[in-house]
Amino acid sequence: MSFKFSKRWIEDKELVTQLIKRVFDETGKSEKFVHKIDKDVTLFREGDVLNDIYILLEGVVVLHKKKPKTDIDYPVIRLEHGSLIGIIAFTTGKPSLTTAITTEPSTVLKIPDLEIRSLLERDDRMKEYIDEIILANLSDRFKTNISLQMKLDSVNNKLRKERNELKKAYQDLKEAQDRLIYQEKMATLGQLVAGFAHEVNNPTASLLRSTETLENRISELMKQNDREPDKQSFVRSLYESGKKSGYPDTATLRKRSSELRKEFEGAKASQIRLLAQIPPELLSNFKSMTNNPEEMDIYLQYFELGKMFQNIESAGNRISGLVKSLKSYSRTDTDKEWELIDIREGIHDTLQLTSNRIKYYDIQINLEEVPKIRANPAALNQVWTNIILNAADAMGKNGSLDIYCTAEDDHIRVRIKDLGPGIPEEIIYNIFDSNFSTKKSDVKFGLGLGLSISRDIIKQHGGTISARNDPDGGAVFTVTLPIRK
Amino acid sequence: MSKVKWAGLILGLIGFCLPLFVSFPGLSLAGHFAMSIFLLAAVFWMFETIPIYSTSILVILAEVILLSSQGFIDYSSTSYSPLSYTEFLSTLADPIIILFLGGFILADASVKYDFDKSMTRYLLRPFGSRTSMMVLGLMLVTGFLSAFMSNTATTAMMITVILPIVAKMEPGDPARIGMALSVPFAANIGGMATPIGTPPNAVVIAALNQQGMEVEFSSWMIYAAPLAIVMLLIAWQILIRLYPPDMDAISLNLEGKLKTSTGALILYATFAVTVLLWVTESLHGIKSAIVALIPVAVLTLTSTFQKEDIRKLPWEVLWLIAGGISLGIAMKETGLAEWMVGAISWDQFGYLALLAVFATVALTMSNFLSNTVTASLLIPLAITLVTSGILQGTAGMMMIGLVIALGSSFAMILPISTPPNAIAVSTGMLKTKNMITAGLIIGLIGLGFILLLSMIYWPYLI
Amino acid sequence: METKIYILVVEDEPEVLDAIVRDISAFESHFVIEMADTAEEAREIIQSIFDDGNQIGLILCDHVLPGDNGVELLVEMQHDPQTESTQKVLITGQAGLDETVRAVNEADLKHYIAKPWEKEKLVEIVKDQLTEYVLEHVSNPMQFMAVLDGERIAEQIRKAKSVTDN
Repeated sequence: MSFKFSKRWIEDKELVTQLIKRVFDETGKSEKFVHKIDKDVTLFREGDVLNDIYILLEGVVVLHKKKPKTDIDYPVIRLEHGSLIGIIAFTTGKPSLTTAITTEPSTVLKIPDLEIRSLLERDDRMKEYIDEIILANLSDRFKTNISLQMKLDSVNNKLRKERNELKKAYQDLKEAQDRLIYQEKMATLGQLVAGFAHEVNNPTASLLRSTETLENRISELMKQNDREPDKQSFVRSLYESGKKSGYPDTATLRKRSSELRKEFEGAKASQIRLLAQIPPELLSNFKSMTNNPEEMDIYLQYFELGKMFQNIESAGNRISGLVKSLKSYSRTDTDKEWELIDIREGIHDTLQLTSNRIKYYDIQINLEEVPKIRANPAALNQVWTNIILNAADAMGKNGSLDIYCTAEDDHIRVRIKDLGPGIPEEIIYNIFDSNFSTKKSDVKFGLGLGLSISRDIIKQHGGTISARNDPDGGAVFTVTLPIRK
Repeated sequence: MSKVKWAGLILGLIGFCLPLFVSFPGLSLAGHFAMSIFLLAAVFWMFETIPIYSTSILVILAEVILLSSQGFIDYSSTSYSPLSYTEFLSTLADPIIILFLGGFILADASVKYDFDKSMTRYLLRPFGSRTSMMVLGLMLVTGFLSAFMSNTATTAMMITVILPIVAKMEPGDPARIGMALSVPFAANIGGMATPIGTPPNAVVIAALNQQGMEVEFSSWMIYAAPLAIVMLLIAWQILIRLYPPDMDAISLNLEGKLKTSTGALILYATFAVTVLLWVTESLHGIKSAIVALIPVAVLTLTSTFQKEDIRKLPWEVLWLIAGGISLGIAMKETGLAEWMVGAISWDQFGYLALLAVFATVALTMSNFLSNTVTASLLIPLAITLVTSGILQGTAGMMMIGLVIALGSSFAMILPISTPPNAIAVSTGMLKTKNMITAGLIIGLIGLGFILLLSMIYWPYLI
Repeated sequence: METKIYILVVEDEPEVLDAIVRDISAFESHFVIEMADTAEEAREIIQSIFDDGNQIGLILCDHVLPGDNGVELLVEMQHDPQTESTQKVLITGQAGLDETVRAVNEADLKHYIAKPWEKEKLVEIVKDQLTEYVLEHVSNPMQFMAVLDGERIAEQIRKAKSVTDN
């Protein structure tokens, strides 16, 4: 198909428009079809069935489309002179897809359907002109489409990039928040520990001191008791042996009990149990009492008295020791965070406090003498705790721990090895990452932050922390700390 | 098996064999066999080598084998006309057994619907909260209930009532002991009041029936209930004085209502009707054993009492009674009883002394043996006293019967004397020595009272 | 048949074991108390008790023990027909929720006592558990009335008629 007019016609809508205008003028029909329109006037609405063809001769018309589910008209195409408005609707007869609104005072050629037909019949030129215009418009639209696509693409890319950046920023934020919560938690815990340690020290002290006094008084009382001298010394020795008695294990106790049951027929089970813990040299005095259980009870009570004191004393001391370790571990009794410390103390404190988890493990401790370094003891203790508890989790109820430290040139090396299943190869490079965790809900230091926080702490000290699997089985964590004063 | 039981086994077998190898002059062949059975039963019952109800069945079996016309022994050339085996077997369905069956069903149904418990709560209310009055209340209610229900079940129920009370007392309060003793004593005494109160009564009544003497439900009550009531009061006073309470008043939670389900209502109605009919036997003449079938029929046909409940009835007690009855038959029919009685010259004894002897023997034996067994062993001898003319007539028979039945129930001394005693001691609220002291006193007073009644009361009624 | 009923206490810390046994010594009038400090020892004791023809009415078990832990022992006992009827009680300061749930679901745990315990509470629980055991597995529970729940036993006698007039 060739066009009468050269290519330039298609691009120069102005020219075409003028020609069409001229045709109309010549045929004298212009007044009827040429309309001068103000700006902001709606030519037709979306959904209208168009019976006229519109050709914009001068001005600007913007096509609008309703945004879905709203009543807002959204501008989609800007048409200038030479444009055919409502082509699709006109040619297909379907309702208009857009709403046409003038944005400047404009001149429009509005030709009704019937007129077009008669015009086309009358004047061959008209047909050609119209064809040209339609084509120009369509190619225009097409060009616009392509450039819009390209713009869309680049916008999408930009958006995608931005979204990724946002995601990462969000992750970072979340981590920072978690860390803050964790630190907050630790801080609160630290305060509670301090308060607790302080509070419990008082009753513990009172307990131990009162027991000592009590013990003294009872000794005095026993001396003054009006008793035959040999019975007196018997009573005393029962009491003293009670204080030192300790606890034989149940198997020994059982064996001794069954021996004594034969010797002391008729004695109650509770009496036999006590007799089994009394040193054999004192038992002969009891033989004479076998037929008098009430008398036996009285003397056994002296033994029990001694035992009870031993209990109280040992329990009191244990509490005392635990509290000391707790305080030392959390270093809540000093104002300074960084001190010159011997890290071995912290390792011992940690072992004491985690003893409940590791008490049945085979533990080898080989801590060579190391120089004191400037460090944050509470923080370092967190690291030891984290590693040891991880090992305990991995090993379950049976296992072994090997803790070793040594000084090398300018740094201290601490090595903690367990005999668990080791760290799976696929995750061994990620374990120090934040939010990495294989633990389930039963976490105390959890949130998956344990090892990553440990790494941060060690980094703060200028040191390094690493993990590997030992060829003999189990995981080995190595921490190096530079010797800084 | 413990040494005691082994001893019992050996002695029992020796006893069984003895009359088979030794000939006792004046005793018929059948009498010898009867003696074998008697000795075996007595020893086995005493030593509890096998369960006592087992011995009872053994007695019946032995009698069928040795003394019945279908047995192995040919009596054609002797003076003993062997009874049909049905005579021995039918003791298992003796009217007295049926009477007791009726009593058992009423009792078990009462337990099932907690009738006994609700009745207790209701009846205890008027007694207030003063400790001494509360003990009286407990004893009267226990006595009343045990007259119609098994002494043991009544005791078990009462123990659950007093445990909370006792828990509030100080550990050293004597009233704990007093209260703990009051329950079994009252249960034992209360059981004397009616024919169905306790199994020894059954054995005695059956034996009297064998002699042609009918004992009406109401008649027994007239003879025995006064004794029971007076002894309850006396026992109460003795316990209060022996173990005066430290606390003057105690509170008891007597909450609880009567159940009103259909089954419960049927039970109440049946219970009332049955007891009414029993008590008025002299007016309408329907035998108490027949009346006893009414609760059996009514409670089972209304499914108030179901198959599982029927299974749990104490059938072994019925067997125990049956064994005692059949032993009496054997001893009477074979002349063993007469022979045994004849061995002692009773005419030296005065009438009263005779009663006293039997009462004492019954009391003593029953403290060590089951009451029912005591009655089973003594009543054939006692009755023979009458039939051989040593004691006079129907009055004498009734009285000796009463003496034995009531004497057998006065076993209050040891934990093993009666199951209620054992339960009370198991609670740990009292020591055996407490029971011995109180039981001895009450037992002796009871003995005296029985003799008193046989002098001034029974002769005018019977 | 005079079988004895045992109470087994399993605890690895000797002072605590001693304290528990002392607290429940009143029950020794009618029961036998045995002690073990590991699950392994407990198993041996259990076997010898049954070999002697006796029974185990109650086990008071700590959870943290050297070797196998308490809950495992209890679950094992639940699956063994001999010890299935034993009343199982945990007395511990250290059993997590998962382990406790396992004990309840797989070992028919009757009670959980947290350390430190009060003597009165412990005695009450032991009395309760032994009463339950005795009512179900002893034909004549009357003999235990003095040391166990007398009311419940008396009620059982009343309703089940395990003792009758004679």
